[in-house]
Formats: sequence, structure tokens, C-alpha cells
Amino acid sequence: MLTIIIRALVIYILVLFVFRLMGKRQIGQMQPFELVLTLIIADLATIPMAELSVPVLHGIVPLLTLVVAHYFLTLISKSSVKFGYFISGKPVIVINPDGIDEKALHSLNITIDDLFEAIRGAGYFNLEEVQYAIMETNGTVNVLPKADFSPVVNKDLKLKIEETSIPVTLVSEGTVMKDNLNLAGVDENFIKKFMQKAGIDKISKILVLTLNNAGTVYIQEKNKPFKTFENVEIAT
Amino acid sequence: MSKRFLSVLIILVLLALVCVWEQISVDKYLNDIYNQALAIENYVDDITDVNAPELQAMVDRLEDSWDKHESMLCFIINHKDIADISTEITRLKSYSETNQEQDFKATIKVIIHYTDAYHHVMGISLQNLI
Repeated sequence: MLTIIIRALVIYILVLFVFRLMGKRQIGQMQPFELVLTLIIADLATIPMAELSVPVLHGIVPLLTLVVAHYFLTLISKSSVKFGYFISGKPVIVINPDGIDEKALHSLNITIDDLFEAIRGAGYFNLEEVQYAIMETNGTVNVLPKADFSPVVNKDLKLKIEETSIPVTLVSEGTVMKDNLNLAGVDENFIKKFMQKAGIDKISKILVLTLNNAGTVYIQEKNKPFKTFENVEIAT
Repeated sequence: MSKRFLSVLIILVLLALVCVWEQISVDKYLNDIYNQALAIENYVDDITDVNAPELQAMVDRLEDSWDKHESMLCFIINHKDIADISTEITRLKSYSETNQEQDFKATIKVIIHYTDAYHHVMGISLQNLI
């Protein structure tokens, strides 16, 4: 049984490494060849894990071979548009200003119901709202609405809104993110200052502490409600 | 050079090394067993007494060689297949001790067949590819 545990751990670490090398795409964002690769990897990984008579190397070698093949396939797809189209296909316009392109649907082997479902998923429930709909190579449908149905944005209203940045996480579950401290231009004293303000005595008790460029500190103690502090001065 | 490219390059080198090591190991170890088994087969062709001390010494050498190579071959050959050869060698030794000529001759042929067959299965050939 110990052998199975060790084998499972080895294969698990290897599969993790393989997926890290493949990139951060999720199932729904995968190109067809990536999905195929994922399915094969899942199958390959289980064989040496469960079958003790199979050498672990028989699982590792094909896994690594697929990683190399995938890397070069991606590399060639990037450098050759034609090859990329051959491997992943082309985005197809399924709805144009004239309406649904039946031929396109037929070539993609999808039904009207599938198209409606995808358009609803994009947030549009009436066909007359859609100017263009494009079926991407990973199977998602992106919609360009007609001008009358486009959401109003600040620019349309001529509103001047100050740009905001992504809040930097300074403490996450009791751990100080040192790289983020440098990024935000603050030090640990900054954290201690807001711990005092929030009535928290230990860093390990902080669930999350973030800071954005507008000078807003968001701090939450574990199992307690959050607190915010506006217009905080950041000494850079 | 990106980290990803470097990782892929290292994997490629590792795969190449594994392939070369596998080929060398299979050639070396299985050929050794195959040749020893062949020598025993040739030796017993001319005799009827499979309990002869010289033959027993040959069988002992075969068993010792197999014991040495077995652990290394476990990395590359299915363990069930390896167990088959181990079983046949154990049988061979028993048949020699009990002087069972026909069974001894049949078993040595099986060992020759196994080592030859695994050698072919592990190596690259058109038959293996299709």
C-alpha cells in the first residue's frame, strides 16, 4: 500500500508540473488539442498509479513526451497562422447584421439551441440585440451588441473618473507578502500601524490586508467583520 | 531563453537519456541472460543427465546474473513479465536438481523465448510501432 501512496504522489507532482508547463488555461478556454492532451494525461497518469506491475517510468515518459509535443505544437502555432488554424480552427462569425449564418452553424456542427444558449451566456436574450456573434476556437461565443443595446460607459456620459489600480494584498491569512510590500512601497510598520487601528494584536490573526493606490486599506481579522481606512498616506 | 523553453529542453535531454539507457540496459542484461540460456541449451543437447555439476554451475550462474539484472530491468519492463523469467529460472534449477531432463529442456527454451521476445518488445521496430 505504501508503494501505491508513493507512486500516487510522484505522479501527482509530475501531472501538476505538466499542467504548470502547459499554462494557466481553464477547461473552457482550451483549444481542441489542449483538451485532447488533458484527457490523455488524465488517463496516462492513472495507469502506473493503480497498476503496480507497470513501471512508473511507463507513465512518466509518455507524460513528458506529450509536454514536449505540446510545447512545440504551440510554438509552431504561434509562428505559423496557417498551422494554428489547422490545429485550433478559425473563429467563425455565427451571427452577422443579416441574422444567423446557417452555413456557419452547419460547419461548426452546432444547433440553433446551442447558439441561443451561448448568446444567453454572453448576457443577451434577444437576437435583435446582437450585431455580431463570433464562435471562438475554444468554443466560447463572444457577442458584439448593436449600438442601441450597448451598455453605457463613463465615456458616453463624459464623466471623468480617476483610474484605480488593483489592490495589493499585503497580508494573506496571517502571512506577510514581502514582494507586495515592496510593490506598494510600504514596510511592516505600515501593517503594524493598521493592526493597531483595527485592534488586532498579531499578524497571524489577519485574514486579509489590502491597499490600493487611492490609499484605501481593507483589513479583516479572522472570523471578524472587515474595516476600511480611507485616504491613507503612503510614504514612498 | 524562457523558463518554459529551458524546462522543455531539460525534459528533451532527460527523455533522450532514458531512451539510450533503456536500449543499453535491455541489450546488455537481456542479451546476457539470453546468451547464458543459449549456452545451457547447447550444453544439454548432447547430454541426458541434467544433474551434472557443470550444468548446475551454469544454472547457478544464470540465476545469479538474473538476480543482479532483475532490479534494474524493473524500471523498464513490466514486473509481471520479469516475474515470468524469475519463475522459469527457479523451475530450471529445480528440474536440474531432480534430473528431469524433458522439463529442463522445455524450461530453458521458454527462458530463451522470453528474453528474446522482451528484447524485441522493448526495442524500436516497425512491428512495435503499429
